[in-house]
Amino acid sequence: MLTEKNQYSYLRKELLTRFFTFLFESKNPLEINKIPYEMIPSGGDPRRCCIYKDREMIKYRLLSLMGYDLSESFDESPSLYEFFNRCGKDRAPALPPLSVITAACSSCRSKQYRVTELCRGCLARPCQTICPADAISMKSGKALIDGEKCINCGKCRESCPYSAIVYIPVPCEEVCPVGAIIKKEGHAIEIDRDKCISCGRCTRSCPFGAIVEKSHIVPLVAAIKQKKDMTLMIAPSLYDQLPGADSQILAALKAAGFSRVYELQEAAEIVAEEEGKELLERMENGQSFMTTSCCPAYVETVKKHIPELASHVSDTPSPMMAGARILREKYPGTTIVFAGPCLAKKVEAYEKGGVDLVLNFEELGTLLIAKSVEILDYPAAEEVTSFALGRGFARSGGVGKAVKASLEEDIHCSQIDGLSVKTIRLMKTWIKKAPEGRLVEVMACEGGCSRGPCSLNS
Amino acid sequence: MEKIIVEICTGTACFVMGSGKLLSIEESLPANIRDYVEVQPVLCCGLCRDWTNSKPPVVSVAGKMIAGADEEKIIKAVMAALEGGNLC
Repeated sequence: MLTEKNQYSYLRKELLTRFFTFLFESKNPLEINKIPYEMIPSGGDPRRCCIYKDREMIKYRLLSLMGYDLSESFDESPSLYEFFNRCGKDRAPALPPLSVITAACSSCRSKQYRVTELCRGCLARPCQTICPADAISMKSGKALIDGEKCINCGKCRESCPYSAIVYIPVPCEEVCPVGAIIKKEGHAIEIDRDKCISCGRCTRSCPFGAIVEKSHIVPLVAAIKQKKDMTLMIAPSLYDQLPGADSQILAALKAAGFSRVYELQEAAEIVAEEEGKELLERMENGQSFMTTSCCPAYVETVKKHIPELASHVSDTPSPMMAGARILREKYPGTTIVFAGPCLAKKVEAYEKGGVDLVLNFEELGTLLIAKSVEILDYPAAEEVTSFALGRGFARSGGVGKAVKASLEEDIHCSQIDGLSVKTIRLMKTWIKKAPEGRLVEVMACEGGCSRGPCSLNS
Repeated sequence: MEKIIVEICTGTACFVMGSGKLLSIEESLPANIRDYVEVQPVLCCGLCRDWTNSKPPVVSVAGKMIAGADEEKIIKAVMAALEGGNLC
């Protein structure tokens, strides 16, 4: 993935801030048409071919923030104002959560190894000797790779003493753990909906920002402005992402327009206990192992790629779903908003119901900016760390630890820290040969939720 | 020798837009200037409200304001301040 510090990440947050400010403050809806011009002023350095394309791409990003799907062809001619008038304002947009801005995609060349001008056409020619596909020939004193024959094994690159051979990946394809990127030479990429698990890695790896997620912020702001009863559930991974003490963060979030803020670590501990009981039951019934189920990208992976594993996935609801159930009982008419670093939670919320809107941490942070909420202005209460085990859900290893703590007997627990082609291949072998642990914690993101694609300061 | 003070805003806007990561800049400073720098977190001064002229995160190096600050800009300003004081 791209390093976190990059100009696209800044652009995303700046656009969110400007859009939130428009939604909350603008008296004239036509002002939305100005946002691309404010973001990309005349005379600036274009990021693409020209500032006009830059502005158009801002328009598309705004459409995605309004919940439009950009993958299908659609009439692009209406103004932002017209699109805004037409967009859904009372509920979250439908699945899938990701779409591709075709015009922003750089249509990268298919992944390949290439010989650079550093090649000195040496006597030993280890590249040519080692190539198992006989793909390397010499032309004008330099090595040349025949793309038709090359099998992308990379042995030539490793063998070159001058580091003259480079690997050029397709960044989105490279990070996708399930092969859901459809790449045709000379064309913008497409996402294979039947394979995509909504882990969101591609959105944070494309250097052109061509893969975008549909946001729920339009219905969110509409509900806040109608003064509806709003309940914000926050994932345990939030605390490291914002300045100030926990009490200051909670007070600030409330001030942004929520009736109450519910910390999910409590629900997480209930889930851990339930999962512990479920594990014992399954073991009594002779099942050899059980995996956790709180990571929705993993649940999607099982559904779409390893269906044989489904009977081993815990039936206990995730902390988000458990929290929503508690809140719905207590405040029946409330609008439940979940905020986390995760993209796949949008799929879980949509499919299972109970959670009305899903925000990511970038959206939550920029909402505070747009509402001019200064976290550090709120009084800091003495820190009492409660539900430490529930908080641990944010980091890999934490869920397993919490489940284990709820049990009296010592249960062997193992983990999958990050989904990849390799770890998915490993999980497929579990159908025949059970994994080492009785309980297996699976997290799609390496490091756990706190390293999720939509986190702020992981 | 007086240290160069690097004030990093920890207001909501600056933090979200990137100052959260700048707070640990001391670790990534080149070894030859690290000892001359002192990083101090400060509260919001309100400059970040004006995105046209002073984009967050806002950082001040030896009293000089930097808008849209990043590591590179800070290190450059620290070097300039050190040279100005004939320290190097």
